[in-house]
Amino acid sequence: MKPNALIRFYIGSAVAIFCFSIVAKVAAHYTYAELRLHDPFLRFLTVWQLLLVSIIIEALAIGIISANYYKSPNIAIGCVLWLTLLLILYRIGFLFSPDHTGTICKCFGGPGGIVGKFSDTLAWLLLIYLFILGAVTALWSSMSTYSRHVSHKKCSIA
Amino acid sequence: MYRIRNVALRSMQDFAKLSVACAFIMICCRVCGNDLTPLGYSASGELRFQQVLSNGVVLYEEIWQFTLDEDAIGKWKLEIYTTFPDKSLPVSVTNIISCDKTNIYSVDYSSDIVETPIGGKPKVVPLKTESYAAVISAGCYPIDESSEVGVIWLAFLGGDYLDPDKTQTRFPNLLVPDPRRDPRAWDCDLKYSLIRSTNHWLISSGEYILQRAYIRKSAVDYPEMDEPIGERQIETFKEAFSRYKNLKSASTVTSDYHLDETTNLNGRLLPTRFHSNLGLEDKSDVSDSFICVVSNVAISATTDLMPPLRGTIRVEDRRMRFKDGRTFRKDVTYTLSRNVWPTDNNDPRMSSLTAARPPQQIIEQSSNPQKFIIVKVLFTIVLLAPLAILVVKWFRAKRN
Repeated sequence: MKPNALIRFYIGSAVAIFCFSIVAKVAAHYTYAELRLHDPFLRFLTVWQLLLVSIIIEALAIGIISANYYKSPNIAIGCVLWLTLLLILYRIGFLFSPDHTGTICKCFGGPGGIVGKFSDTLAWLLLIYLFILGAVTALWSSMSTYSRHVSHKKCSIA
Repeated sequence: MYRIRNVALRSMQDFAKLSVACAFIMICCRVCGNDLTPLGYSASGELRFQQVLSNGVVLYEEIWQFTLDEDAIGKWKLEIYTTFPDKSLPVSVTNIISCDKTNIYSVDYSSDIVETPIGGKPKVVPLKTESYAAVISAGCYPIDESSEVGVIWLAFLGGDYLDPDKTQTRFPNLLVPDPRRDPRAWDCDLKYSLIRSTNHWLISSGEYILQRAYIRKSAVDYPEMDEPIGERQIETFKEAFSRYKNLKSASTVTSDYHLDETTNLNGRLLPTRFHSNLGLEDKSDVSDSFICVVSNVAISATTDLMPPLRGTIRVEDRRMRFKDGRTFRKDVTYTLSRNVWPTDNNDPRMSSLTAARPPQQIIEQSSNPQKFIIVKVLFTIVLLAPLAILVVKWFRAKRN
């Protein structure tokens, strides 16, 4: 099944954003003492370990999304939505954490990283974009699948 | 009647004689230089901090110029001037600290600031607006100041806070750089000897001895210590507590103070040279010390010893500190509306400011907020969702 323009655009932009996020994480300042501290949300991991785990998860997600781009775009959208929701929940949890010290300094390299002091705002904007457009695309995709399914049934009855 | 008149006359004669004698003694004292009327003084000099290797190489050095004024009733003002240790950043700061025998008032003045852009190098930037930071603390121990203020205070004023009948007592260690964050400041005995100077006392030598038995579990047990904010500070605090708790000896000398020379000003002894060795519990090759030389001492009749105010003053008022083991308020912050120090501890405006900033729950004691747990549960569900879908699909495939 060939995905339509909106789905193509959404999946493409999601892959680009996740790739950028990986590059930013890899380019983070690993010498910062803060990276040796425990993460305020996932306390069993240090910030450094969390960076590594998130790089691996994002890379795996990119692999799955790319593999399903033509074959099964619904799986690709689901994967993007899953990762986006995970990142949003992490950020909300970080804000509610009793230990949090202010800004998240991990994603997109953090202050002093490749994006700089606006990294937090940028990350929120991109995640909101991925989530809202993802929800719309998923809805559209499932509706078109449903209508195709109904018309296919009608054809077979006729 | 005649007898009563005689007694009265004799009493008047005795009183007159006594008055003449007193006047004579006072004149003699003035001539000899031992003035019984207490006068204030002003002392200025240079304080040097040095980090020296065992082979004599100086690793780091910082110099402060200072002027200390103390009036006849014990109010004092310390003006301490320093330049940024990094020579490429020529910023000078004047810190003025005053004590009115009830509170300590401190303000920092500087024409430039050091700004570190994100990811860049620090640079000197001229102050855009005349806005300065001030701190007000309750009491007369300068615990909100750094160790350079602490050592000057100890040399000139510390002796008056010690009991001359004792030689050792638990005493705030003002030689630590940040007493609000370092348990060493509160877990030391000071072993001292004093010199009498008219109705004042000077410390001739002192040793701060860290007593392992005094060390408590966390900052919660120290009324004058701040509570850590964020995980980084919590870990730093924990590390400090465990380090001191694990000291091999029950009593460890951490720093000492020695009065080397004094001068007699109008009958009052004042230090003109003193030094202090720091970090003695640390057995590394580097030794830290303060060396002070007082270059000028003069009688002073100044009565206004409060720090002068200029520009906009942002105050961190620590008189409204609160700590009860569960909650903590570090300070109340406000901008001085008029250029007058708020010296009245019962000022009604302070009550409204205090009410607007209730104490916060201490982090170490705080239980996990409900929202935090809900988000954690949701995060776990979303994280495991693909696995659950795969398992369901696998079961369906197996069934078909």
